[in-house]
Amino acid sequence: MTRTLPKVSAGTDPTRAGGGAGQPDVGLSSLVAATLAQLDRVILGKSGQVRLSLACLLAGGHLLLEDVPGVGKTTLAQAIAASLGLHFSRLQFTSDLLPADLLGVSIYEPAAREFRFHEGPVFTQLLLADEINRATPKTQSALLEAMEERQVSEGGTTRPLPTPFFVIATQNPASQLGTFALPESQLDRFLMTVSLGYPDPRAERELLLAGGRRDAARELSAVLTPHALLAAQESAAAVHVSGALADYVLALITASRAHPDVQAGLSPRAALGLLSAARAWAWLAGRAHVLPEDVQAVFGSVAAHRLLGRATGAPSPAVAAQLLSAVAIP
Amino acid sequence: MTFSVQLPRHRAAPASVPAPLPLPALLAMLAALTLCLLPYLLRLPWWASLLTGLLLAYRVGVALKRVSALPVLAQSLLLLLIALMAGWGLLAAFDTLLGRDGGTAILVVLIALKAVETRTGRDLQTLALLSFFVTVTHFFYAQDTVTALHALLSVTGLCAALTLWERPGALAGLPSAGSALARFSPLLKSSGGVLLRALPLAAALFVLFPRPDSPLWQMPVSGGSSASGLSDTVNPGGISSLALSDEVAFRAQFDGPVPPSDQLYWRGPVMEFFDGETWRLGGSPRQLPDVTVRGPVRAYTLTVEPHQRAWVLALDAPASLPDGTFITQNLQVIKPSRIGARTRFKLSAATDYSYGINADPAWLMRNLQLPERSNPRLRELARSWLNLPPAERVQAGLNVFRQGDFTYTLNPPTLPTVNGMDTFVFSTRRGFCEHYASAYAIMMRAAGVPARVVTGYQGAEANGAYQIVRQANAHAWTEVWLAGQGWLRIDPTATVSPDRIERGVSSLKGAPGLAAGQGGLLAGLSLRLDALQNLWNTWVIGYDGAQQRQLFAKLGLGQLGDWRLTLFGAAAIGLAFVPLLLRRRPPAEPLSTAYVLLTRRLKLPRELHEPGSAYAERAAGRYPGQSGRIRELIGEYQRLRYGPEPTAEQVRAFVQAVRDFRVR
Repeated sequence: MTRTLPKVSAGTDPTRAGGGAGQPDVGLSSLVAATLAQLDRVILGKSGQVRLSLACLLAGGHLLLEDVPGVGKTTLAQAIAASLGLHFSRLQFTSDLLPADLLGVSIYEPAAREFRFHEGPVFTQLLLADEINRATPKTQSALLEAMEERQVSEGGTTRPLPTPFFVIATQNPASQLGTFALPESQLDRFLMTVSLGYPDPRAERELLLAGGRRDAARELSAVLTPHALLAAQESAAAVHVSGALADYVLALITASRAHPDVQAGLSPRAALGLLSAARAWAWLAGRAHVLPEDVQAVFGSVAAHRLLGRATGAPSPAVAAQLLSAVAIP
Repeated sequence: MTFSVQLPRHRAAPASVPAPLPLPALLAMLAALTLCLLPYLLRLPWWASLLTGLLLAYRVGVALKRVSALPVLAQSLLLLLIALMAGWGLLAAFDTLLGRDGGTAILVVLIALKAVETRTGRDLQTLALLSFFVTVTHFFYAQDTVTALHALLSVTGLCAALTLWERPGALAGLPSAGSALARFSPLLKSSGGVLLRALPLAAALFVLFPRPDSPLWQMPVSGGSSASGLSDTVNPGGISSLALSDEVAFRAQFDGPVPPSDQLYWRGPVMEFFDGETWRLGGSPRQLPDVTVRGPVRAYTLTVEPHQRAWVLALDAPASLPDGTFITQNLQVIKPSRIGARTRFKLSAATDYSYGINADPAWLMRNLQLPERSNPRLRELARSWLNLPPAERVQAGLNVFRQGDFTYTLNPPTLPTVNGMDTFVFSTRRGFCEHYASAYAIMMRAAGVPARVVTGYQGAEANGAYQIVRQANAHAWTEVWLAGQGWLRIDPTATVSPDRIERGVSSLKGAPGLAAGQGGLLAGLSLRLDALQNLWNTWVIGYDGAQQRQLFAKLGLGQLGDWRLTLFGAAAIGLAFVPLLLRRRPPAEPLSTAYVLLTRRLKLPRELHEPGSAYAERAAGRYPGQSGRIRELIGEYQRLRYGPEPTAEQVRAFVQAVRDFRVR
């Protein structure tokens, strides 16, 4: 965090705040584009997922990375933190992790004759919660509460978390032994789920020749500042949504509720999330209005973990795909 | 209601580009169509049923890509050829392609042909409308609860198919796992919802629509094959074939107590001509018979199953007549337009009466006619009673049966056609009611007592508040005329088998196939089903013009004349369309209209879920020379439609740009 802030701050542009979206700020867009380019240099061959992850953060949402170990989840999180100039902390979730280990604890200090609160790792701008499904439900819910409220209540005091505050959680879908699957209500707190998947052969070859990327990620210099990120978020939130597009989102949501294969359709929170993710995606594409394409691009990531199969109880990306191909664009 | 969500309808995107047909909708339509046509497959000539089945199977095969479709032109020619050949074949089979049988047969075949060439949503809609119509035509054949249930199922299936087409969202995921019921329940819910919402209107139309007393047109019915029940001749074996049928002939409901079984003679055709072998109808003038009522008059309601004949099976002796019928001198109640549908009659009868005391002697001579040379032994026996008073001759005739070793059986031995009654009385001595009635009438005529054979039904089976009379109750008895007493009913069967008359035909052994005779659970169930049918008859089928007038009178609309009623009905139908008129159509969206016009100019239909950019790429790939212009136009569309509200001028400019666009 050594760079000076760009001359953009939140809420300076009255037209944007009024909802009439102009073109995204050119300076800001190019900064974000530079961030994307830098991330793509670290995470090879995954520009789609990287873009989705960034869109998720631009929409102000938390991100769940679902993948097998070793495909670069942590690297991605670190690279994002470094590129955005965010204060980063990482916490490996285990079954003996207690809420206090995450949130912090008040300790009596004999010298000062008082309790003093020692902040836990959650007091950061970007928290990487590794293998979130290994923690007990109690710890999980402490984290998820912090995610939703963006504050921590301890010992009768409410302490706000830093802004911006993002959680990138990872979970390993393949190993179910000794894990506590996140319940639907908590899955709903994550705006998007992204799977990186194995790199394609060309990218993997490059990876092998250049060596691991973890160090490269750590050494990235910040392209964006937290302030610029907040401004970008605000700008993205002002991207125009037309009536026709709202109808499309509505149709998708309604169809998900009528779908016979899922336990429950998408919630209104999911609908709002879908719209803000689509706005962020449109903003990343440098557009001042959301197109159905944008909704389609983010729909799988936003919807899949919220649509739990009636038979399996597991997220069903197939249903999300079916909905996309069955619902007509108005 | 979760199912009533209104998805934006893809058809709302301007018409004229045929919407592609989703496979589940097509398959559901074909399934519903098959269900709807099923009764016809059993009714049509075998080759027509086979053809219909093959056509439908071919369409399903093509839909599932199991069968490769013929080229369009070849298929059209082939279908035309099939249509012509089928039309010719059906014309040969039915003599006409109009009327009930021929008309519906050609309709069914044509619908199957239409199914083969169903490609677009519009075709599907046409198919559905035709199927709705076919569903109605089943009521030409039967109006019972089974037909109604089948119609309900068909209509539900058709609605489900239409739902699948209108709202493909409802089908998302249908082909995947889950129990069949769970998968289809949202669909059934939604089509059931449609039907439920139609119910009030249907009920209103049912009650209010004018019901003329005579049909507006008569459906020609091919042949007389569908006539059932009693025939207009009596020869040995004619009635016993009916005795094995537990089909319902009619139902009766008495306003007061039911007369005892031995007075339940339901009068059918009266046979006065005998040619030595067969008894035939006597022509009887339409004239009020001289009936003197002695006992109480009992009012009752008959619900007669269609038998395609004119006779109303009134209880002897009729004391009052329903509208639209007349009575003949030999006491037959006649409905001049045949009973081609289930019909209700309100009648009354006097079971204690005398009739025909002042019969015209000339007329009575007809009842003495007997062919020479037939049944000589029987005639000789009867002539030996000529010196007795007539009343004793009657008893002497009965004594023949009483004293001889006669058996009443449903399976009598076959009699020779010549002098059959001689053989019966003097050697086989086993017979059914028509044998006894016939032999007795011959003896009486030979003995100089006017006599005739009356056919009809005897007895009834009580089921709750009403009586069921089945074909098995078909009976033949005799009437003799004695001076001073008039026509007397003599039932020789009663002297041989009193049980038959007192307890009914089901009390007899050797009456297989009678549900009521099998006892136990099955019989109970059968009676309960019949009670349901009776309710249906009373409340649905029996609701005719007279009942409607009564209802209107109760509602204070009694003074409405017929034409006013018609006007009223027309208004009721008009009401049905009010919701359609009031339905607010979404204002035409000039942008999407123009977009559809563009897809037509490009001759490249858009997938419904295809976003503009993907479509632009596809179109640009198809017309590389104009790719720039195409991308520009579609980009402009996206901007105008999804960007900030465009000005009218911008929209006009875009519409004009699309109109000016031509592919090269």
